[in-house]
This record gives sequence, C-alpha cells and structure tokens, in this order.
Amino acid sequence: MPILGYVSGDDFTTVLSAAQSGSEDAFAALWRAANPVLLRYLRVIAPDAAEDIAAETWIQVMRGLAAFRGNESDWRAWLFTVARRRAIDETRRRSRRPTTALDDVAVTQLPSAPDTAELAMQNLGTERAITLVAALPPLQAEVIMLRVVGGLDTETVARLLGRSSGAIRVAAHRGLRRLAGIIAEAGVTL
Amino acid sequence: MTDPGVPHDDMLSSIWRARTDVPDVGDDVLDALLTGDLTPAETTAALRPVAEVVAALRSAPGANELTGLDETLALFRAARSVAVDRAPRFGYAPARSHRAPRPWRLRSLKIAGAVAVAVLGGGVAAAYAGALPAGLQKFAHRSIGAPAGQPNPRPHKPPHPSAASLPVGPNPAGPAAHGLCTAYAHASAHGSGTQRAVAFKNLVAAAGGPGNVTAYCGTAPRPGAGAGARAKAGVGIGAAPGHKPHGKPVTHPSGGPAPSPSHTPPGKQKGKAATG
Repeated sequence: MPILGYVSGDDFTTVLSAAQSGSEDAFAALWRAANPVLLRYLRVIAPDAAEDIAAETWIQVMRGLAAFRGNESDWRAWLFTVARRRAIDETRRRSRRPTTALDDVAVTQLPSAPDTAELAMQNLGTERAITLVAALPPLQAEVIMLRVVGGLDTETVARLLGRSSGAIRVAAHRGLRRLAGIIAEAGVTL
Repeated sequence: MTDPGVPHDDMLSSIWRARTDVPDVGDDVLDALLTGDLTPAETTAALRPVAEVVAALRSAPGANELTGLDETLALFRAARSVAVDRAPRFGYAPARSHRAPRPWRLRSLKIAGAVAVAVLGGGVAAAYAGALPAGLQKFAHRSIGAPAGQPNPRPHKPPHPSAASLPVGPNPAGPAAHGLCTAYAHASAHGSGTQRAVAFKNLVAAAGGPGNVTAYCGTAPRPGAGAGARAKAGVGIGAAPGHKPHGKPVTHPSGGPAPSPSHTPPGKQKGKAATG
C-alpha cells in the first residue's frame, strides 16, 4: 500500500522540479499525494469548510510553487502551514457571520458522549477515525493529525503551531491515551 | 496492565483505567504509533483499538478525496499559460541565476486570473462562468472577482449600466471590431438585411455612416494584436515585484485552530499575498 501523502515512485525532487517547470502531470502527482492528507487534517480543524480550504490552499501553493525550495518533508510542512492559515482565516470569517444561537440547536445536533461511543463501536473506517479524533481537545486533535496523517515530526509540528516540542509530545500522548479511553468506555472490541 | 498474573494489580489497573485515560503504555510505544512504526497487529490487546484508529487515519485515499483535480489543473494551466506568455515580453530572468531557468512564475494569481480571462480559456475563465466546484469558485470570487457561484446566482456587484435588459451588442471600437467588420462585409456582399441588427448599427454609427464602414474597418485591430496589448496592459498594471513565498514553514504563534489576534486580518493577508 502506498504511504499516504508521499509521492510514490518518482523521486520527489524530480517531480517537484517538473511541476515548477510547469508540468501538469507532475503537479497532479503532488496533488494526488497531498490532497487526501490535507482534507483529513482540515476535516478535524475546520470540518465545515475542509473542501473549500483545501482548494484555496492549492491555489496559494500554485502561486508560491516556483519559489519553493526544500525536500518532501519541507513541502508537506509548507502545505500544512498554508492550509492552517487558510483555516484560521476561514474560521475568523465565519465567526463574523450571524450564527445560530446554541439554544436554538436541537439537542440531538450537539456533540455528546453517547454519540461518540456509538461511533466507536462501529467498524473503524477513516471517517469514523477522523470524527473520533475531532472529539479530542483541539490541540491534541490537531497534533495527532499533523503527526499521524501529515507525517510531520515533533519539531516541525512545534514550529507550525508555535509551541515547544515538549508541549507537542505531551499533547500527542495525551490525545492517544484519551482516544484509547473513549474507545474503552464504549466497550469496543476489535 | 503491568502484571496480569496478579489479580490485585489487575483490579487496580482496571479501576485506574475506568477513571482516567487508558491504557497505561509508555511514551515510546505511543511515539511508535504516531510514526507508524507500530501496527495494530504488533500492539497489545489494550492498545489495539487506538492503533486501529491511527491506522484508519493513515489508510489509502478514497475517491472522494481525489475529486477536484481537473479543476485545480485547469487553474494551473491557465496561470502557467499567462506566465509563459508574459515572460519573454518583459525579458524576464530568474531571480536565482544558479538555478535552472524557470519558464513560468506566478507572482499573483489575481493578475494571472484577470489576464487569463482576457486572453485565454481554461480554468480561470471557467471560474467566471461559475463552472468550478464550490470551493474553487468561492476562492476565485474572492481573489479574482469571479462570480460567487451558488447559492447566490447573481453577481455581487451590479452589472454595468450599459448591461441593462436592452440589447447593446458588441462594442465596435473594442476587440470585437474585427469580427463585426468581417460579418458586415459578408452580409453586405450577400445583400442580407442583417445590417439592421444592433451590432451592425453600432458599427455603422462608430464608422460615421454606412459609407464609411469599409474605411473604418480598415483600421480595426486584428485579434492577435488586441489580445497581446490587453495582456501586456494587465500585467504591467498589476505585476507585483518581489513576491517571495516561503520555502519553509513559518513559525506560527497561534496554538489551536481558533483565530488569534496576532494574525493578519484576511483582507490584509490577501493584499499581502498579492503584492508582497
């Protein structure tokens, strides 16, 4: 199985260089490798606008592509940096719009522990896994997605989030333990 | 569950797990899960569920995660074409001479988009036609002023006063002149009455009377020259010098995904992206 999010087959440097020279095929290869990864990350940090933000991310990446320098890890870190900024912008934009008051939201629409437990008891597809992670505290959820799905190391995530490496490590570990707790409470046996 | 052979310890462990996060595994094991060095099959029974979640996060892409490539490539193509078109005209040289020359470079998609709409088909024109998926369409709307697309089919800005309900026809003083002249000559030669059409009325009026149309059309710009001139004008006005995207991720001061006051507001950021 190809490793999610990495340019398989061709050497990344070759593919990147071709894309920077205007090769559509090369750009498509970069997109195919990274778009699913970006979407999964965005569905955790900006679930209502993940597709929009991913599209915007790619347009911004096109703009900066020629000037990009770095290896595949740098490339991924850059993609996530762009995506994250776009997500923050989008969150801010939406927060300025009038939204439904919490009282008006039906109780069934609110996230709740029983829903999460029910979710955990089903077979764990990617969708359910993402939803489970999204139920974690925001920092833990984001760190887990960047580490697991993004394939970024602790130091890169720390730079991206503006936190210490220690804080990132702790958040990742706590997140995984809490995730285990959520599944255990649901009584799931896999 | 450190020692399953000792019932007392096992019971304590169960109580602990019930009250806090479980299971009680070492950080090094969790690190191995994060990096993918530990698969669900290699974990203990207690850790297997969370290992399954991690594996699912990393699973192969689904079809729904690979839609939108065509639209993205259309934009890529349109932007590249514009950049290639303008590079030789301005004697463009790569900023880093020790690198291989790059035939294209995008400094501002906004400029590229505007020019592409004037001279090209492709994705940017599709954005204007409202043909892109919601995400791209929305971005195109914000960045190059294309229509917003659904859910509001009407453009944000009211149309020009001249674009009212009455037919106006192409402007004979503009890029359409050559086409109008060709059609007019054809209609005249075949004795057609289509000269009365709005477009031809405009042409006759611009020429100063039916007798002057031939002379007027002799001065009409050919399509190639007109498009080039527009492209040049578009690039010249809006080209943003010194756009340097970051090759490395920039440290971000904010922690979670929530907005942080230290960030540049979207409006500013957009301007910055387009010009700096």
